[in-house]
Amino acid sequence: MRTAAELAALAAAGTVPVLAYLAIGLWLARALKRPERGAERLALCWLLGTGAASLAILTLRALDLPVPLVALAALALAGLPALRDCRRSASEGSQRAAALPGAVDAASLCVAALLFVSAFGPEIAWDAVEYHLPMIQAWTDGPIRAIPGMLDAEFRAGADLLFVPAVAAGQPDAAGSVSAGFGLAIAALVRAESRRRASATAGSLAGLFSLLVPFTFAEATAATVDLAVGAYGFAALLAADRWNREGRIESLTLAALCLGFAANAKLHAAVLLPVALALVLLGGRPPPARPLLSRAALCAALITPWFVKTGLTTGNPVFPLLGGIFGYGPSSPELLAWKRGDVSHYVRVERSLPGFFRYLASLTFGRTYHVSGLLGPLPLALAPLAWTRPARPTLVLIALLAVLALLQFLFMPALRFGAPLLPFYALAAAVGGARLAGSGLAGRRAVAAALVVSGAIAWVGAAEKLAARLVALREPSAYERAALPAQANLREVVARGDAVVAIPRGAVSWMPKPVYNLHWSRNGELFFDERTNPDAALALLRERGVHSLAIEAPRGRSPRVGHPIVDAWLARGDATLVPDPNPPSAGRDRVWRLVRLR
Amino acid sequence: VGAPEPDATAPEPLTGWRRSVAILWLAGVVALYVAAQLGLPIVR
Repeated sequence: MRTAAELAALAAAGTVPVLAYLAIGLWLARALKRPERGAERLALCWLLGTGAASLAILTLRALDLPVPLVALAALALAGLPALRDCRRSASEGSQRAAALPGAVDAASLCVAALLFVSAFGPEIAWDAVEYHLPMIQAWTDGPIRAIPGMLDAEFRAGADLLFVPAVAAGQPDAAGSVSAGFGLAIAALVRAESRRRASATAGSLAGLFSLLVPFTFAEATAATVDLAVGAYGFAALLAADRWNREGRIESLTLAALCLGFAANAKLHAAVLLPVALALVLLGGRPPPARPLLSRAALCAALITPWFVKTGLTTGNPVFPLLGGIFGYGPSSPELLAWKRGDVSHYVRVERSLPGFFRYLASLTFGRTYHVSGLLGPLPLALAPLAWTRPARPTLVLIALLAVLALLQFLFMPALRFGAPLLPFYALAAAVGGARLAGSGLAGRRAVAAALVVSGAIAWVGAAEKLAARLVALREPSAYERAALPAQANLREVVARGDAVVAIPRGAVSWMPKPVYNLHWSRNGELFFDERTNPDAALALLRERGVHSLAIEAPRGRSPRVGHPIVDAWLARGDATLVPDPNPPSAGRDRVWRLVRLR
Repeated sequence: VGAPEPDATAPEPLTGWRRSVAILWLAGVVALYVAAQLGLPIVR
């Protein structure tokens, strides 16, 4: 049970960094003379501030310099004067007089506030505790460096670095507030663009449903980075589209900044660079060479620090790409090929035209892990209604988004990898909904009924999770144990082991002691199965300082654990099984056992 | 670089048979969604 003081510390660790990032963005937006106002300006400030702050934290932590909350609090206060830039003018303010959009916006604000606070709840998202938070903990305990046996530390981690202040303050649960910030930013951008393309009511509703959609709820409360990639990518493509429609050079600057931040957050977002370039070259208003090249140089400058970091820690500045030229760093060609295959195939979809349509249907109705039902019904129900003869910029945008959606389906079908595309589905749904609602009473009633039904279902699902997370703010351990019981049990076993403790596939690295994750996808260097010789595995683990292993075993009194390598060690006396009359459950008929290496 | 396009463009309302088809489509998708939420296996 957390005390009031502990809750205050949690709230400070979750709120202060967010306000500091926003303050940086407020000043950057002023320097860039961004014209946006209101929530849209705040969203853009968030993107600019987080992108810049991430690069600053990269520099600070590379030099092993601290990122204390006190300094961030001062930074947050310094942003206050620039807040007035967000105010609307009197004429803009009069557009907000309509009752329905105002009421919907008020509901959105309530949902946003609940989402933000619930993001302080205990971290139970698998990826967050498997590698995002452990990596940031390692880079908080020491400088940013290569971490042998932690492959994820060699990929881009621009958004991960935003978790550093919360983790450094000893409040890792508060790191999720950064993801909530990105979720709110996406909703604000969707709202603003939908207002431009449809109506004020459609914009406000699109913003609200962007918050309520299951994908946002799953990601916005977790210390993961997909919403960050989604927000940067969406803003970049929107800015490129605005260049096509308006021809203002600041749009190219914003696109370049957001593209750089997206690529820093996750390497696969670099695919948006050629897409944005194609958008401005083919969208009917090809930019003059000089401003285009200068924005390309700006983008290159933003992504260079991560090339330098990766070059220093792996020897390959574009790791894990071009291994044949620059080397495979801490990994091997075979293992990296397995990792590529894993990303492509761990979501089972049939790569065919019918398979593509089944995949799309699964996003709304399905039962496929990492895909199903995450979008809710509105994109499928309303987005097709938006189709009309589009102007050239919109046609090019739609064509490029279709190419991206196809690439995602073929190579990375988990929905989170398509995060930059999802806000466009909301935008299309807003336009489609506005067209039907504008067609007469029957159309308006149909749209209203669909919104009420889907909103009620979304809210019921969300409210249950929100309530549980809010209760868990005071009592986190019961919530964590209920969400990931096998991991809670494993933590007890790891606590008894001699560090470094090796943990098996199916375990998360967020543990009370230093651990070595035996999952090849996480360690990047060891297939801990029949493919590896037991002597080679033992030598590598000793090199990594491993003294004990926590491993899943069948329930019972067997002197073996049922793992080819560990059983070989036990038979030869290289390891011993620690006696435990009542080993904790690892799920179903399995238990966690502790093995000590000799 | 050319003249800017108008920013706010009210989308053209659906009319005639398109409106009828759109209402049916919307109702169908939402009904299937509700069914899926209730446990009906619509698609894998």
